[in-house]
Amino acid sequence: MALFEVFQTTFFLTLLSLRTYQSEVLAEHLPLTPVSLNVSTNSAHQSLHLQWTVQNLPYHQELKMVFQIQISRIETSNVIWVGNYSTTVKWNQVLHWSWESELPLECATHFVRIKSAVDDARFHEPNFWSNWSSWEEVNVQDSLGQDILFVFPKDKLVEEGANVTICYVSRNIQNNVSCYWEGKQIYGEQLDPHVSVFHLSSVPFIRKTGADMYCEVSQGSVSKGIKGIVLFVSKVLEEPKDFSCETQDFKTLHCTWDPGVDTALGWSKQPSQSYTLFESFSGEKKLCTHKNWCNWQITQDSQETYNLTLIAENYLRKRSVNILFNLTHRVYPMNPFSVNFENVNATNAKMTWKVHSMKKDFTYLCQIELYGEGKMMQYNVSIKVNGEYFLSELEPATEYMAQVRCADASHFRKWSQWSGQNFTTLEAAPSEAPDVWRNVNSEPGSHIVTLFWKPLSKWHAKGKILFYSVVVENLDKPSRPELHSVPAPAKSTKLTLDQRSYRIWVTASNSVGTSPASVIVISADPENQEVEEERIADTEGGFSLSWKPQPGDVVGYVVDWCDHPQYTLCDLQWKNVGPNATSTVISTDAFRPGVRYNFRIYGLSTKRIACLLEKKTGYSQELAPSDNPHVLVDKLTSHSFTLSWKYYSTESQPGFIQGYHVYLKSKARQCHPRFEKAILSDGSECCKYKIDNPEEKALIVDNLKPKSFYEFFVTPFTSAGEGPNATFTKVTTPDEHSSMLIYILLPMFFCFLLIMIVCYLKSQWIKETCYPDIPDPYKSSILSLIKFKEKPHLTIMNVSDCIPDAIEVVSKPEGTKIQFRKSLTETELTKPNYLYLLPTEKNYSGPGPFICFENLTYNQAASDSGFCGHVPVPLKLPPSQLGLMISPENVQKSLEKNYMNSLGEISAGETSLNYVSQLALPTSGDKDSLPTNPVEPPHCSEYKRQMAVPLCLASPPPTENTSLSSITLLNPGEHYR
Amino acid sequence: MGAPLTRRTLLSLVLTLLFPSMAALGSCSKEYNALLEQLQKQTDLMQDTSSLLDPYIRIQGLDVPKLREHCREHPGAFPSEEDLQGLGRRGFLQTLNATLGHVMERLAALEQQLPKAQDLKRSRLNTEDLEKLQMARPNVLGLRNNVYCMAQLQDISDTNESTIAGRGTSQLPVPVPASDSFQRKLEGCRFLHGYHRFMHSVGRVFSKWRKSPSRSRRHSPRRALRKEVRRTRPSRRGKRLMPKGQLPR
Repeated sequence: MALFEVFQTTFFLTLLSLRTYQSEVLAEHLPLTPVSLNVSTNSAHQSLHLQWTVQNLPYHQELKMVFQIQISRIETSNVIWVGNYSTTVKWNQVLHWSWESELPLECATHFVRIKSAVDDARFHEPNFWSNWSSWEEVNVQDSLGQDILFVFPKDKLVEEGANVTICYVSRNIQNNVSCYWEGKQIYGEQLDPHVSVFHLSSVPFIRKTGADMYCEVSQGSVSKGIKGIVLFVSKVLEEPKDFSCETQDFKTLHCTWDPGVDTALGWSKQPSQSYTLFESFSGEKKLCTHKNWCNWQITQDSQETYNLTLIAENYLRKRSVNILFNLTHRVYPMNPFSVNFENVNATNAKMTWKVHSMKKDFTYLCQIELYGEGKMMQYNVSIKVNGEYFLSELEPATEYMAQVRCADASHFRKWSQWSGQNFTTLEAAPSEAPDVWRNVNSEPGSHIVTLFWKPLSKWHAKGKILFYSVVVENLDKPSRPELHSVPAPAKSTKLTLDQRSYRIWVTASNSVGTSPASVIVISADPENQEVEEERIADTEGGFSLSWKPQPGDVVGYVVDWCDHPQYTLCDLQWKNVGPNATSTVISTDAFRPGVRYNFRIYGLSTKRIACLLEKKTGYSQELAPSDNPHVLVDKLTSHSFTLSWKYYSTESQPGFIQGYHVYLKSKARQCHPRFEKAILSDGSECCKYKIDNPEEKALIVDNLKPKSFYEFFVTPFTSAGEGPNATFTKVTTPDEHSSMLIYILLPMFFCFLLIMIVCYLKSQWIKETCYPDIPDPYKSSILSLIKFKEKPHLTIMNVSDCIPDAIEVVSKPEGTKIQFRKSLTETELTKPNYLYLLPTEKNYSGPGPFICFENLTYNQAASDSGFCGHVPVPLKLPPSQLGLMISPENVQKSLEKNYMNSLGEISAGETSLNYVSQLALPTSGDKDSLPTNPVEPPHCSEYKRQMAVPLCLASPPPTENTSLSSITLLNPGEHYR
Repeated sequence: MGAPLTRRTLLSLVLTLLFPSMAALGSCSKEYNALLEQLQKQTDLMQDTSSLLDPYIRIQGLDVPKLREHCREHPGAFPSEEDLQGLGRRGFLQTLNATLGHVMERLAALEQQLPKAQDLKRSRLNTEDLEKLQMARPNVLGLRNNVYCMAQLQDISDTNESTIAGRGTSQLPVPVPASDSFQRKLEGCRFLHGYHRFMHSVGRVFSKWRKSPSRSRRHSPRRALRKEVRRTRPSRRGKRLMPKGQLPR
């Protein structure tokens, strides 16, 4: 059988050899022609799929052949593609080949034909092509259906930047078809009357749900439908970046990468790219479930070298990245754990930790970082499993944070994460004496000493300061030192000491111990207050102070000041300066503009006694005065006035007052001497006078015009400017003559006053001279005469014997005093005139006492007449009410009626007599109705009060308004005749 | 005594079958007005195109005038307002429930076509519209629940009343599945357009329930319902509604 096979082969080869020599003959007799060509389409991929066989191939033989394929479009003569396809052909094999069309297959009819040739190395002669197969027509349009319009390709998936050809097939060439790409109309080329083609080049990624291309069919203006396609444009798949793998336990490799852009598309057209790990030595592969990491199981067969490939893949593209590494070089240790601190004291601590075991003899390099006091210290240590490190030179009472991380000591690749813990060192005794200063206020017999100290820094306190101890020792008188304990966080204490020298120790204590003492001595002598104050200016954010060095030994200087001098608690600050320094700069954020800061410079003697050397004062920034002085106008004359503001305080201003500006406005255009013209902020003109001395707080403004109007305004000024704007004060100079008038009137007034005083002093004399006392009849000598004649019935009538009800107005002829005295003896010559007081109450009917005024002095006989009781007066009414009830009008009417009727016989000639009303008081008790022209007694006229008031009217006692006199009811100024 | 019990049991069974997914959703409000108000608020929310249609259009890239012109509801895809107004309460609620059930299915299908939120985030794209779309189904579910509750509150007993969805069409007609994504995009757009219009119509029906004095049925729902049943002629309505309810498949 084998022999037969060998024979057959030999025969065949011989035959082939013969063919090479007689190719034409072979071609004719052994035509290896493609037959049974079948063309199918794949619309989704826009591809033609060809199937064929090769005829006349020897049985069970393989032959390398080349096939030439021709593809035409629309018509066979329009060949659009020619290509060869080489393959080894077996006997009876069905060959497959695909071709992807740029133009959607639905858009045009395609034709395919094929021919073949032997391309086998065993044949050295040139190939001879077979004949072409017949054209195979591919027409998909026929199967589209009856719709009016079709757009292709449907749902094509392309990558960003690809070129895409789109076409539409319109069934009716009468229809108008407009096409749009993402809303924008595009124009294509017509392939045939029914088909148009659009070429989109370098399509961009628009959205994950695809970009829309659509065509609208219309007839006229009527839309008949819309058809379109979605072009799914995928982002270009990127190569994974930063691909790396590492192990923490030699069991698993943890690989990570940056996946880049996601290429997933909607409508399930394309999922996100997938990632696969492939290890070439073991040939193992793993599909990763996460986008950016994947775990690879390490086999226990001691494989040390790995060649891992990460493959990213989507429907359109595949990308890969590869790493080759030794496993031991890819160790990323796990975090240390159980970090602890042992034997912690004030300055030392032992730190311990553990690490995960990796494999035998694995050594870790661990790094320790210690954070505390704003510093960081770093230490390295190699360990196996348990780590420890002795931390020294720590600060007492300080919280530290220590952390540790580890790496492979043999092949350092990467530190683990930090594992850390906090711990606090124990306290130690304070190491530094507190910085102490004092303020001494001398009072009679004592010194009020306020001690201040600065809190110790954390560095020096070495723990929490619990209290400060102040020990006071009397240096002049041996005595037991006094101890004062001041609990923290107080920063000062006040001591009242007598006027002796004292030494004061101040220490700070925490829970462990006490600091060194700070010593200060209070001298018995009062502080030198005679030191002159010097003004200084702030320079570049600080006060530059300099002083003369103190003669003798000084251990240093102290400059003190208040940060808030405007407050009672001024926050005393001080600065210690070395013994050789003669200047310093005081700079602090507390300094504010417009605040005056006072600096005192002390020298500290070796005995720790502070001696005031110099005083400085200044502003960090001078401001304009905050207020203007209150100006008084004084010595106003017709030609001048004086302005003064002596109570204006220059010390409380936000700058050194350098002087004052006096502004003066007047109608005159010319300024007065010493004044200069100035323009105010409102643009108005005025005159300005500058006073350069801040203590000069008065100004005489002279050379003014009488009876003129002036306005002035006084404002202080500092280096920063003037005080605030304010209104001008108005002054009008008096008339020149008015002063003259004063010169005349004033002496006259004094003369008049002098006369009045003289009159007052000589009043007795005047009285005796002008109106001597009326002789008392009881004391008259005539009484003795009567007694002598024993005529008891003859007596002088007592006032109480009669109730007078009328005033007799005695008509007294004008004349000399001599005439008057004469009438006293000739009583019969005059008839008494009476004034009746009538009741006004209508219902009054009963009899009652009456009031009668009678001038007994001039008419003794009148008392006997019967006129008394003509005017009834209600008893119960007080005189004031009486006055109200009895109006003067009524009285007048009554008088006119009754009195005139009864006394109608009095002739007009008789009424020309003068009368004296002895009472001229208000009639109604109202002060407003006081007589404006009180009746004054004629010069040197004699009168006597003559009233007889019944007892019932004597109560209530008369007051100012209810005096008995009021019941006279005489209208002021009324004269009854 | 036994008859009403049997009737009520049957009613419960019918309701449970009608609203199977609602039965387990918890207790219903017994306040007619509160429930009606809630239903109206839900329909107000769901007729707002900014909750669903607009995000969909943006996501699909259909926000161009030409495409918006073709984003119109298929006639008959959803019951018209006239049809809904013509239904009795029972029929209306059943139609609404059936329609919402179908909407739920369509929304689920639409969601499948959308890109995944995590993909969008990974590509640093805006996910706001997608989140709005994903809220649509829970909203519909909530409305369905309240429809179920309203049906319970109405104590529906008359089973002869016609419905749109109940007469031969257990669910809304589904259009022919589009062969390509472009057509599916447009179909989704048209469906959502119809959905919003439908919710608008439903809202108007509910608002009439509120306005009508006879609908204040808190104290006597059954009596008022009977009136409605009498007013709604099942046979005639059914004849008229049937063709409208069936959409070409």
